[in-house]
Formats: sequence, structure tokens, C-alpha cells
Amino acid sequence: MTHRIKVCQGTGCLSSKSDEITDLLRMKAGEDVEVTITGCHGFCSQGPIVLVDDVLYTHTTKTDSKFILENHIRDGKILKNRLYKNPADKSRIEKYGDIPFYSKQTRILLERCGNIDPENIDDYISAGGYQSLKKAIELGPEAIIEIVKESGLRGRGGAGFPTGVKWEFARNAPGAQKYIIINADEGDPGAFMDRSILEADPHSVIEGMMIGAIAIGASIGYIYVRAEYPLAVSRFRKAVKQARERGYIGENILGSKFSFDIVVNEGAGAFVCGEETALIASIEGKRGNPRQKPPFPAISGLFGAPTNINNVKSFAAVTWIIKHGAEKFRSLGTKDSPGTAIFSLTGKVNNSGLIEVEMGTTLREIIFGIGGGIPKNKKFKAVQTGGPSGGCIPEQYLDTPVDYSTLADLGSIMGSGGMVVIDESTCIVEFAKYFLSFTQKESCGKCTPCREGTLRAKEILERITSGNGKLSDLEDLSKLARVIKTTSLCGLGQTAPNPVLSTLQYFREEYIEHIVDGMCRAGVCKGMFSLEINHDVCINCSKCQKSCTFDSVLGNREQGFVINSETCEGCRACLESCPVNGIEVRPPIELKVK
Amino acid sequence: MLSQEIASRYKNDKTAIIQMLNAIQDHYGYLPKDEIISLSKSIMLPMSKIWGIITFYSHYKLTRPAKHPVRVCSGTACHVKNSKLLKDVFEELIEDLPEDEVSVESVACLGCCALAPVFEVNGEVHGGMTKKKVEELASELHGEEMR
Ligand SMILES: Cc1cc2nc3c(=O)[nH]c(=O)nc-3n(C[C@H](O)[C@H](O)[C@H](O)COP(=O)(O)O)c2cc1C
Ligand code: FES
Repeated sequence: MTHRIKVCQGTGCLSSKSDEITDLLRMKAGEDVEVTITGCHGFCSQGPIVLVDDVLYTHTTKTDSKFILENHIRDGKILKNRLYKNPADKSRIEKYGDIPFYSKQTRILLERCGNIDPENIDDYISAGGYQSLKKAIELGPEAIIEIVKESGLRGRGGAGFPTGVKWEFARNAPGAQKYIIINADEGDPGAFMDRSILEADPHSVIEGMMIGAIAIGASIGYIYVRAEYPLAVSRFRKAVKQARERGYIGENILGSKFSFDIVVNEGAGAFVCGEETALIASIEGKRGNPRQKPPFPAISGLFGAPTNINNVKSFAAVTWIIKHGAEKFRSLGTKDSPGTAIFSLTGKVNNSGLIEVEMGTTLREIIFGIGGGIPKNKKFKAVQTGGPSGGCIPEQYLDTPVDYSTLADLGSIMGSGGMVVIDESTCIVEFAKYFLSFTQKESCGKCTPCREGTLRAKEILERITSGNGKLSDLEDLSKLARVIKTTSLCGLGQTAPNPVLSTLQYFREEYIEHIVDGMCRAGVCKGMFSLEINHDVCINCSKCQKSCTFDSVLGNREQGFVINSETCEGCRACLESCPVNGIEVRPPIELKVK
Repeated sequence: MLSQEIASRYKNDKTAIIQMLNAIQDHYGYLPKDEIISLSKSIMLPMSKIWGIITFYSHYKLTRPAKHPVRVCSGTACHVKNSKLLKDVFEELIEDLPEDEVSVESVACLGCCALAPVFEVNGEVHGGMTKKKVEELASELHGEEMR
């Protein structure tokens, strides 16, 4: 029997040298072993990941390559200590499909990610690739649009506009030359869905885009990728080259009248370029300023021609829909939002990574079921979705089924799929300030409400987090937020206040605590808290002392430890290092004296 | 001049200006002034326009980068895992090194959020950074300099 070893070479695993593991395995493997690379499995926190047949190894090292070949392959002995350890009961799990992180997911678009070699088109083709393209050529534009409309697919880039309807606009727009664009700008800091798909399964995106091109009548496609994603760019380029060699891209594709070519366009680091009109300006070689809509890109887009823009995941979904049919897609998810949602689950959660679930899955299932809960038994505080355009959802809404409308009702957005979990050690006011500082910095400056408004709002938040806030600030902040929301030119400004509004709504008492009591309960805002060791729980392990940046933990293992509040700068290293949550956040010292 | 060669690769098409600038920066690590001037002539785009583009996009650098550029992620996932604090610690530790040796900058998300907090050193991603790893990194960089 031949064995197949698959080594993950996504960016995450590469950072822990999975390329060197691959080389070693290739060098020493016998005839009966095939060593291939794959893209991201989505389980980056466990990397480097090596799959031997269907056994998943986590945290593999270079030395393990020898054990894999000698013990596993030759002697059939599994490397127990490299199997995934379930944080719930510390048991080791052998098979890929048995790990709760995977077994609770519905991976239809991510199905091939981690299973095929993204740099080898044959892998994609033998997994059924380019069948949808063939089918689409036979179907013709009207039938494609009908199927996509029927499927109920909504754009995965954020706003959730029905894809089929958008295609129909572009198809009906007059113009000899039309364009189709993949939006792979993925500007949401803290999200990496699009990156992983491009790195792990680039052909599925190419295929979806070409189906879109047939539908709207485009002969040229662009992909706009973030400059920070070099590996995604190179994998995508390679995929285009291989597809061209096989006749999937070029003139008269698969003997039809359809001709198509793809241009790879790298961005240059501007969040606003994820917005479609700014993105188009950037491809045209201009500053990425968004413009007023209408006219929508479907009427006047790239170089003034009718243009259709979709997110990476939307195109990947189209490939799936054409292959499996609209009905099957509709059978997943909710009535309002059919299909699956892909999230990058990160922050204070045990299993962080890339996940795919049916729309309508509850936040609790995602965070506690798949994500395995919060590390170190800390308390869940909120989950942030939609990045800088989204909001924070508190505990009482954890049982909300996730889709476009439910999240919007809660004052957040679905967004492109960023999902960041925060625990009690994150200060909600500082968190809101973080997002606002981001949008303020990324505001292109064209319209006043966004340029000036975000700056003023940031100043208010800075005041509050430095202990100089006034109660009237809260009123001003909501007023300002509403003005920015309703009067900004583009989506950046229109959504920038969401992090502030949602936290003001759900965590108002924490704002008030900052202003009235001068206290930051999370122990984040400088000068607004003090730290104390709770001697009832302290196990005298000395970790806090070793971790302290300012040598402010006095004492020793025999006599116990205390924090010297005079020298403590509040670096929080002790809080992070304490294994038993034995360090407590207290009001600042000056207050206690009073 | 490199910029002429790059411009002709794109048939002197000014709409490809961003791709050209990217290519120049990939080569030098920054955008040297004479290359931009020569690019401006090749594609007949005024310097003022090019300047407008360079200053709009945060990717572009106008000064030669340090020998060891360190980028600290300030994306959301890294932020909630205290990347700012680690950056402060790191900056203090390398304060004594000359500016052209090590540079530190913040970037918004390197796309490895599951490994947060993330540093990127000489283009290599270092995930799961801790105070200890930061100290090791700093002493490694100090060692480099002595050699
Ligand atoms: C400030 C801003 C940033 C955006 N960033 C992205 C992005 O990174 N990726 C993306 O696909 N869409 C982004 N969008 C949404 C796009 O404008 C556009 O709606 C989307 O690409 C359409 O694709 P879809 O219909 O497949 O969702 C952004 C919008 C705004 C206002
Ligand atoms: S938030 Fe740091 S890598 Fe994404």
C-alpha cells in the first residue's frame, strides 16, 4: 500500500518551518510514500500540520519526520504525543474527522483546502475541478444567472448583496468590453479567510470567476490582492499559468467561443481599496479614493466599462453551486442566507483557525463547540464580527443563529468573516478606540464626516481611556457616531462608528466606570487600575515574578509574592502568565487612599 | 535604469503605475528618488501624480530599510493578545542598536491571526510571541551586530 503524507504549507505552518519538514520527508521517504504539500487546513494554531493518510499530526518538528517514516509508515506505530490534544479532556485524537474542531463544521468550500496540492492543477482536476466550468459553458449566460439567483447566494465580501442579481445588472449593461474582478484585498485586520483559500485552493476561485465572466460577458478578469499576501499571490499566479497551459484560460476555452484572460494586480496597503469603487480606481493606477454611487460598477466600473466585483469566497461558492446545483446550496443555511459562512475565529479562544459552518449556526456553537471555549478558564466577554465595520456582541446573545440579518439586528455585521473573541481581560472602551483609530488612520480623507468625525470620536475615546472623560462625552459620542454613519460618502465611514455604537449599547456601564470611578475593570487603561495577588488562589509558582517587565513582583516561593504598586507600570505580563487566574484587577491606588 | 525596464514590461502603461512601484520597491526595499524620476519620464506621468500615489498607499517607503526590518502586527487578533506591549518591550531592548540596523514598525494584520501575537522579522513570520521570545529575538539581533 502506498502512503500519502501531506505537509501543510500555508503561511501559518511555513512560519514554523514546515518547508524544511517537507524536504526532510522527501529526502528520506521510500518508494511507497508520496509526499505532497497542501494549503492551509485552517487549524494554524496547531501547526505545523502533517497528515499521514488520515492521521493528523500537530506541532510536528523536523525530528518528527524521522519518526513518521520509521515508526508510523514502517512499523505502523502512531506518534501518540503528536496527535491533537483535546483541551476539554486532554485525550488524544487520531483521525482528522474525529477532532471536534472539524467534525462540527460543514466544509463545502474549504473541502479541498488541506487536501490537495495547490501548486498542482492535476490534484484539483482529479478532485472534480473545472467540471463546473465545462457545465457553465454548456449552460450559457442566462441559465447560469438563473441558477445563481435560485441558489440565493449573497456576496461574501460584507454587504451580502445577491450575487445572481448583481450579475444580471452587469450582463444587461450596454458595453462591448466588460470586466470581472476578484476582491482579495481582505483589509479587515484579524481575518485571513480569503488568504487561506487563495493559498490552498486557488483554482476554485479562478473557476468561479470564469463562470461569472461567461454570465456577464467579460473577457478579462482582474484579481486585486493585498500586498501583504506574497504567498497567496505566487500561488495564484502559478495556478493561472497552469490553467493557461491546460487550455482553461486563453482563446476558445474547451473548444467554445469563450475566451478569457486574467491579470494579477497587487495592492499597496490601503484598507479603503477593499471598497469596490476605490479598488477600481486603484487598478486604474490612481489614488484609491472611493466615489459616489450610482453609477454602480455594473454600469460604469473599470475604465468606465460595466464591471462586476465579487469577493474570493463568493466565487468559490459559485463553483460549488454550478457543480452541485442551486437546490443543494439552498438546503444549507437559513432561508434568508443560504449556504455556509466562513469565519476566521481568533482572539481568546482555544482552537483558533479558519472554519466553515452552515449559516444559522449559533455563536455559542462556533465559539464553544468548534472553538473549544476560552483559554485558561477566563470569562467570555464579547465576540466581535465584521472587523472595523462591525460590532461587539455580548454574552446574552450567544444563542443567536448567525446570518446577515441577525447580526445586523444586533448592531454588528456579518462582514467578510472576521470573528474575534475577547475575554474579561480586554477593555471594551480601549477595544472600541482600537477600531476607531484604525478607521481614522485608513480614512481616505475625501469626505468630511469620515475624516474629521472619526478623529473627534477618537479624541473623546482617548480622553475616556486616560481617565479624563466627562459624562457628557457619551452623549457627544453617540451623536457624532450617528452623523458619521448617515453622512459619510462610502462604506468605510458609514460603518466606522459600529464598534463604538455597539459597545455603548451593550457595555455602557464600563464606559461610565471609566468616567465616574476612574477605573478600568479589565486592567488595561494606564493609571486606572492596580494589580493585586489573591493569596487564596496563588500557588507560589513564581511565574508572575519571572514575567514582570518592571521587576515589580516582590517575594519568593517560600514566603509568597506581592506586587509593588509603586513600581508596577501595569504591563499585565503577570496577568497573562498566571496559570490560576490569581491576579486581580483593583481600583487604582490613589482612589483607595481617598 | 531598473524603472525603465519595469515600465517597458508594462508597455509604459501609466495605469500600471502601482504594479511598477511595487516592482521597484521589491527590488530595492524602498523607492529611490532617481528611479521615480526616471519612471515619471518613461511613462509620462508627472512627479506630482506619482507623489500623490506614493503617499496614499502605506506600503511605499522612501528611505532605505534597516538591515533587519521587524514588523509587529497590530491587527485585532494580535492586539487582543497584547502585541502593543510586546512591541514596547522590544523597542526598549533594541534602543541601543543603530537605526539602519534594526527597524520596528506596526502593520495591520499579516494574515496569520491564528498564531497571534505575530512578529515578522526579515520577512519571516514568528507566531505566538511572548516576552521571552522577544528577549531572545533582541539578543539575537544584538549578537548579529557584534559579528
Ligand atoms: C471600507 C470597505 C472595505 C471593504 N473591504 C472589502 C474586502 O476586503 N474584501 C471584499 O471582498 N469586500 C470588501 N468590501 C466590500 C466591497 O465594496 C464589495 O461590496 C464586495 O467586494 C462585493 O463582493 P460580494 O458581492 O461578493 O460580497 C469593502 C467595503 C468597504 C466599504
Ligand atoms: S491580527 Fe495579527 S496576523 Fe492577523
